[in-house]
Amino acid sequence: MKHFVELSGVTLDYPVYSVRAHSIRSAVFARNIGGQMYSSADVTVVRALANINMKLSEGDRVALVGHNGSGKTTLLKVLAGIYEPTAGRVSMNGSVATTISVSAGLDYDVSGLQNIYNLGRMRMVPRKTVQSKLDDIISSSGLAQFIHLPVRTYSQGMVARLMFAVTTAFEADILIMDEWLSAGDADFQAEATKRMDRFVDKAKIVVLATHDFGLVQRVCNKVCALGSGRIGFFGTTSEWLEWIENGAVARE
Amino acid sequence: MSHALRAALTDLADGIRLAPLWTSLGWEQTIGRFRRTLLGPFWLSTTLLSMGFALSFVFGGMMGTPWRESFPYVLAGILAWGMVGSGIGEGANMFINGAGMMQVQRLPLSFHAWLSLMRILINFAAQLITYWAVLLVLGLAAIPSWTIILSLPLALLATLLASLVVALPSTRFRDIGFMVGFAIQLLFFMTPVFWRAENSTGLRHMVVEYNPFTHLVALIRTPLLGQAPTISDWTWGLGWTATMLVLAVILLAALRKRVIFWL
Repeated sequence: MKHFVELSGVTLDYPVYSVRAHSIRSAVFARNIGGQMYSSADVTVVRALANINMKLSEGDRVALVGHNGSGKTTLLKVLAGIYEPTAGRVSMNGSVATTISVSAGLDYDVSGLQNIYNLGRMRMVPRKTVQSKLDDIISSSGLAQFIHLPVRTYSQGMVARLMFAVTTAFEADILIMDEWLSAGDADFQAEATKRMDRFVDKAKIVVLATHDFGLVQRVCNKVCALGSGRIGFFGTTSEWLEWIENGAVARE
Repeated sequence: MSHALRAALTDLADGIRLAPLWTSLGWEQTIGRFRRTLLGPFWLSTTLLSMGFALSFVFGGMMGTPWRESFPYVLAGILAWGMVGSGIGEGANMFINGAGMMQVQRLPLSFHAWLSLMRILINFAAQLITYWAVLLVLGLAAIPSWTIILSLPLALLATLLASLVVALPSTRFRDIGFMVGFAIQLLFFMTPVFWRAENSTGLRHMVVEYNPFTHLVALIRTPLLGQAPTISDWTWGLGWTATMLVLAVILLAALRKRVIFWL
């Protein structure tokens, strides 16, 4: 069966609640006055994604690029099923692995080794499978004997290495990652690129949000540029480079 | 069936399917909470024992019951309250506690209710061991009634659903979380946990009889003391649980998508 990800007309309204809106007093008293002030001032609705259409198929390694706040992480979270779209449909076929944040699901008080088991468990990977991949994960993380130390002693780069090794160890058809690859050093970047290639060679889909143009050119074959929650550009990496040279004008 | 309703039922079913995850995570979190302590979850047993001693000493004396009779009653009452009463108060924060997880991984909302229930169950088990150990030493232990096999799961289910019903609005309006704490405290005194319901008359009798928590406590305590719960306890227990199930489904259908934005 073919793996795919398809977004059709996906819109996400993100309600932002002020501190006041979390208090029941404001809600009650606002009703007495009429409620208009309350709804306009305390709950701001941000249209984080507007009418996103996208179809990804096997072998696609898509970079999501765009300014801060352009909707990259929101789109990743919609793909991961963390947010449900306000309108539109997300359909996909295949198992999904998500790594939205570098420290997600890490227990800083236990060893890296124990965390590998914990992260495997969160991804519903059987313990036996984790054990069989253990050597691979430890060697690719490059943490060596540090794997036995508590994660709270790790640097940010070491945490990123561990997370990346775990994420790419368990086979998933669709990999969704937020930008944190760049936290590692040059060695790690090279290793990560190799590993990403292997991961994608199994004809899986990767969606990666990043600001690193170098990374986009090395790792991804397609680019989706977001701006204010809309797709400004979607095409191959080389087309994207051309598009930037021509002034990066959003096209419909 | 509407889409929202179907999604709510799917959420509940998915929560059950994730049992391996919430059981192991519940253990993990309990271990984490009591890490670097000597007694571990048995620290909670010290609360049980001190409250049991004090309340049975004071109230047993006031009501003229011999201490050896009131102590097991009060101890089993507090034990049961921890599950059916304070359990709801703990569950009210389930989404706020699980915010980190919810922001990075897709999980059904009912998963957090199961996880919270798992932690309560582990604490309950630790306290139950203490309960039996202490009563055995004092020569007060009774052989539990077999009905506990049915009544404990019913009480667990009641707590699971009630905490879900409370947790959804408490996440949206943080005041409700505090109100729940206040209400649970009030109910602790209004429910015959450490005092006896017998020979209460008039309004007091009504408060006892029409308080679902009276019956939920009885569902756990009576079998522990070696007797079977009454028919009225079972009826109230089942009725309360069914009501909570309906409320939980309605609230899930209405609010499920939005909870993530309230964190």
